[in-house]
Amino acid sequence: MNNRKYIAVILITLFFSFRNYRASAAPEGIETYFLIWMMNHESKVMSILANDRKVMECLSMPIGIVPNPVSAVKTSEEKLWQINSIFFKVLPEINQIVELARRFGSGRFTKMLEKINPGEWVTRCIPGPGYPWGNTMSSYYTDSFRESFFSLFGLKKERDNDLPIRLDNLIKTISDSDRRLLNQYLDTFIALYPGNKPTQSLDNIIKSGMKKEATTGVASLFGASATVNAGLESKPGSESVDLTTKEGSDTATIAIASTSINTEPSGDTASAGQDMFNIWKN
Amino acid sequence: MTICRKPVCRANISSKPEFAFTSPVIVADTYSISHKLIVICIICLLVFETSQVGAIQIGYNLKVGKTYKFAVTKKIISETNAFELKNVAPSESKSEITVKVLAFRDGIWVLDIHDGDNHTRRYLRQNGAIVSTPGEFGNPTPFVFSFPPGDCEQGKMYRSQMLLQIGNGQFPAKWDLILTGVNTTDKKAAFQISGAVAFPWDKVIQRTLTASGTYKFDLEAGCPESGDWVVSYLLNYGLKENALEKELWNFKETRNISFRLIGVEP
Repeated sequence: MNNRKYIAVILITLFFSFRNYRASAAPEGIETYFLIWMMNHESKVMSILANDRKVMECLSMPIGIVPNPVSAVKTSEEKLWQINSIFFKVLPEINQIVELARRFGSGRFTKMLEKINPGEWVTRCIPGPGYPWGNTMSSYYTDSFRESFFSLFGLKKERDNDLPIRLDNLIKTISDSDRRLLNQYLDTFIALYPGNKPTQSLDNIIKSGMKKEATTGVASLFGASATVNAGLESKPGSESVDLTTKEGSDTATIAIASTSINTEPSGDTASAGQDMFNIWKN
Repeated sequence: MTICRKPVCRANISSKPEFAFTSPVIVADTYSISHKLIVICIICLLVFETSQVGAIQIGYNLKVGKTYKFAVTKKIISETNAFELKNVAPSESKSEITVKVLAFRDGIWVLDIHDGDNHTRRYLRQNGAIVSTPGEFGNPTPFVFSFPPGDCEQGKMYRSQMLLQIGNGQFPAKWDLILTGVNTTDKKAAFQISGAVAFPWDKVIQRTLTASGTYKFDLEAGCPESGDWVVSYLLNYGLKENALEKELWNFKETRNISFRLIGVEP
């Protein structure tokens, strides 16, 4: 009997570990298309610029007797590198927040986690005289299990307890001028690829933030409040949650759900039949 | 009816009586013709002199064993634009280049060049073209202009061309040289120079690289005396997808370069 419980605990752990592995192995997020597009074009323009600087050096000194002096040139594109690197750091973290909200935001997982109560399973095997002691240890084992579970999924209570605030703080790390630039990049991408839903949802999240109720499930993971679960039970079968405050939130939700499955960009980009990232095609 | 000409009347004009009977107009013409001849002769001399100045042979005439010192100043302004973002990075550098003439053989000078800690050697023809650059620092293919063979005519454009091979690309480049004037008193020739590189051009990626300025050659010393030019570069990087064109980045770079011969040491 006890062996069956152990096996059950191991199987559940393996199941979630596998889910986590799959989620972490999947490269697609809401930011993936935009970031790859940005990185590709950035690398292309910077390589052009670096090559052209060599040409400039050749044209800089046309006198045979005087060579072109070697001097360090301050390049203005350095600033662009720095700003873009901020985006490359922040956007995957935004996707990470969205992934957390998508995975745990509904609260169903919290409810299941509470039902498992592994501490009780472990202490039940303790024979009769030791049962009171085992009962005391039960809560300790359960807490320990939860801590291990959080660390396995990369969850931190202080950081992830309030995902909207985490998102706000993250976006605030980008200065106003840089955020305007990011918005202009995103607008350009969406104008060029209007059918790319993941990037649209990323744009919506950056501009409008996340709804508090969309992330209460994550908060309940740490707090394990029954009230939250009661509220969430009214949405049976809702794996994905409404993450945005804009009207187009449905599409954003669908897109987020689809990114982990569909590796092809949707809409016009796919229908065009061309590789949107093949920047060297010309 | 007889016409009487009074020799006395012309006595004041000419001491010779036979000329006294010629018309005063004819005398005046004779005087004018001789004057014109002188003027024509002077003009011819001037034209001859001018023609000598207008077309001269220009070439390096370096002295073996001597050291030529040049001061080079580069002021570079680099600018990046991305939508509202505008970043300007100015920089300036000054360097002193020492050129020692090691040898001269078969019309080629061997130059030993120092730029700070950098050391290289160049083999230079009399017309300014580079034969070889062993140990060249900076760029593998320095592109310089050369003087035309024979006389260099004033106002005529002389072009030097080269196919620059940078990375995987080949870019045709040119330098145009125009002799604008020769100062015979201090023996200096002034040139106007302009250069350009032909980059591939399409709707989304547009690049231009041009250069223009002035250059002075010391005819007596047989080496360049000074030069000032501006190299301008522009890159517009845009995107085109589904018949929609968007400009993404814009880069500009302006290089103000000048050099001066600061001394020739034995």
